Amino acid sequence: MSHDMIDRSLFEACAALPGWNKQLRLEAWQNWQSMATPTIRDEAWKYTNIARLEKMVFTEATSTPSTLTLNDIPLTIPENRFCFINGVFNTALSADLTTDTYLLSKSAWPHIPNEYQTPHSYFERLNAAMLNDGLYLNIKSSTHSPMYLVLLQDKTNGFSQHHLRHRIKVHAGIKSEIVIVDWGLADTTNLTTYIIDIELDEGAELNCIHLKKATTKGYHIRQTHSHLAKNSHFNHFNFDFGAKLSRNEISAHLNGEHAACQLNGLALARAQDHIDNQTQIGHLAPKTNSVEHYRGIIDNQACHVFHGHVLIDTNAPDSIANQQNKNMLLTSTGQAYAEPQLEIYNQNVQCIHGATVGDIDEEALFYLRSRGLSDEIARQLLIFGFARSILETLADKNLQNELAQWIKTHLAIDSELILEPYRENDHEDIK
Amino acid sequence: MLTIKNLEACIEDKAILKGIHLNIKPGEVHAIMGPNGSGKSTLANILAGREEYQITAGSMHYQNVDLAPLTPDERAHLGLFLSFQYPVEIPGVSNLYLLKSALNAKRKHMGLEEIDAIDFLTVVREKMKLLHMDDSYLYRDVNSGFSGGEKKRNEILQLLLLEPSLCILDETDSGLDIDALRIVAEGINLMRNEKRSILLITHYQRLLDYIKPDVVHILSDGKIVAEGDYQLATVLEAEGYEPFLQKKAGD
Repeated sequence: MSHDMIDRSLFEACAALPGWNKQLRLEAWQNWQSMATPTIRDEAWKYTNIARLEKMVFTEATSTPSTLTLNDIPLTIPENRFCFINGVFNTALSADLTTDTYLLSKSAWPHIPNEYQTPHSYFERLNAAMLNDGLYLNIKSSTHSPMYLVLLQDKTNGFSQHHLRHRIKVHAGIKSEIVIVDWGLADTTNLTTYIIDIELDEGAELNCIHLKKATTKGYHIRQTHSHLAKNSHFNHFNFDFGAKLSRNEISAHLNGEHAACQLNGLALARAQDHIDNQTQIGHLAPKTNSVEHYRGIIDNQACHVFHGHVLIDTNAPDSIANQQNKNMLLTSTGQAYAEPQLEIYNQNVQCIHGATVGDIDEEALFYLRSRGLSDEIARQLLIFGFARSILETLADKNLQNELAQWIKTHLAIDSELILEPYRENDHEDIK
Repeated sequence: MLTIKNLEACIEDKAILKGIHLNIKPGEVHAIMGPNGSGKSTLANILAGREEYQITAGSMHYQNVDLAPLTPDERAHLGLFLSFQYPVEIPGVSNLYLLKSALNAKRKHMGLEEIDAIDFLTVVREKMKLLHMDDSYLYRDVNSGFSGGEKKRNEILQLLLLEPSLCILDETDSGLDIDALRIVAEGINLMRNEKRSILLITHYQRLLDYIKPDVVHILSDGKIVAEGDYQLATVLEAEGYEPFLQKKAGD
């Protein structure tokens, strides 16, 4: 078994870079090379076929110097940010690095604990072998405004690849928010692997908002793994605006008593997009709590896969798990696969789950039209309303509004009305 | 104003309306009463433009316009309003959006400018006061998690705001307690004038004690089997539908 999608000479070049553990890279490379590519016969890849990746040949990402700026993306990115272009850290666009914010390429590698250094899965191994860079964020004080981690994908010669890995540690009792933006700006074929390891100490709280807008030729594989100590809270919001292939693997290990996580996601798949959301929640201690709400809006020939695995261990009595997945199909050619999977080994728990796949509600459509709204506006209200249920779980109002605008643009919704104030507290100025 | 001639309609090959004749003039209040399954709600839904039903014969004209080719929104612009028997819950769409966009759709059709946010709130709050509704209704999602009574009140709020010229009220009284029924009926009575027509669809006489109809029709098995003034509803309340159904059998 060997994979020809990346030439060995590219790996050699990576391995020769100073500051990295060459041995770890080599092991990862060899393990990746000897591993079979996942196929649709593998349970975890049942609905996502990556066979075509194997037929491509990816080269380096940095063949053209990038002139991108943050004005090229339609979101406001505050100054507290770290930017990567085609996987390479961009000093000019980023805030200053500090003693608690290191670049992995600047010898932060030893800070990744051993258990993370043994990559298991196909893309983890590839990521470990070819890693471009990443950040180690050691968060020791609470922040009021979020930190942005931005990855821009610019035009390259040929098929490019980018591999990033961040590690985020939030210390005991600290509250923090991170917004991760992955934005593809050039429609050239690229492969991105992106792994984020998160560790929350006792009583820590992290909001992690992930916005992904890859291109119609982007293959984007992302993994977010979190480990939660006692009384810690992890809220993850996954907004995916589509890609040729977008795979998001999100896991939360509730290791300490009263640890709680919220995993919410919105997949907006159109054209030939394929969005695959795989979540895994482990209730491994008593009185742990998880809430999960994923929605997909699927247009044209696009596809959304949701697989939600919830494990409640024998050691996790009095735990509560609630999982919801809803999909709205806008065409008869779109596809949605909803797969809740619950594994419960303790009977003294509460577990609720529900999954639906449906068209636009005809009853609701008739109701709105009978009030004088055109078919088009009524549909737009219903589609946006469906997305709003996830959008509204974001606490940050500004970000909510920016995203609402983006969702409108993405879904070609032109109704002026939709961004007007619509909640009681939005109206304070005109009361 | 509303003229229905020999209307026949079916759903999935099952005949439901079997030749309805109805004439409602401006300013009149008509009530259609009838047992379950007689076709009352079907008639209301067909008038509003629900597409599942197929019209197999007859015609319906409103203000001399043939309704059949018109979409539900075109009928609404013409002045027709259906208060739903089961108002639909629409999570994610706030009541405020619905009310404002419905009002603006109507204004646009009339060639008027869109109403601005402050004027809109003034108008809608005035109407809400009449129905004893507080501000929170505006910001809740359309009918989402509303009780049966709240949903019906919300229908009447839309009616008061949109000021249609033909109001079709499909079992607006069901699910309402006595106090709510009185409030809703007062709201409807406020709408009565010499130009506006109202079609009440109901099982019971109760609503008609509050809103006195000019004409009462009894519908049975897709046909109108009896017609009369308000007294007919009183007779019906005393004797039930049975004598009218027998009358039909003896036809």
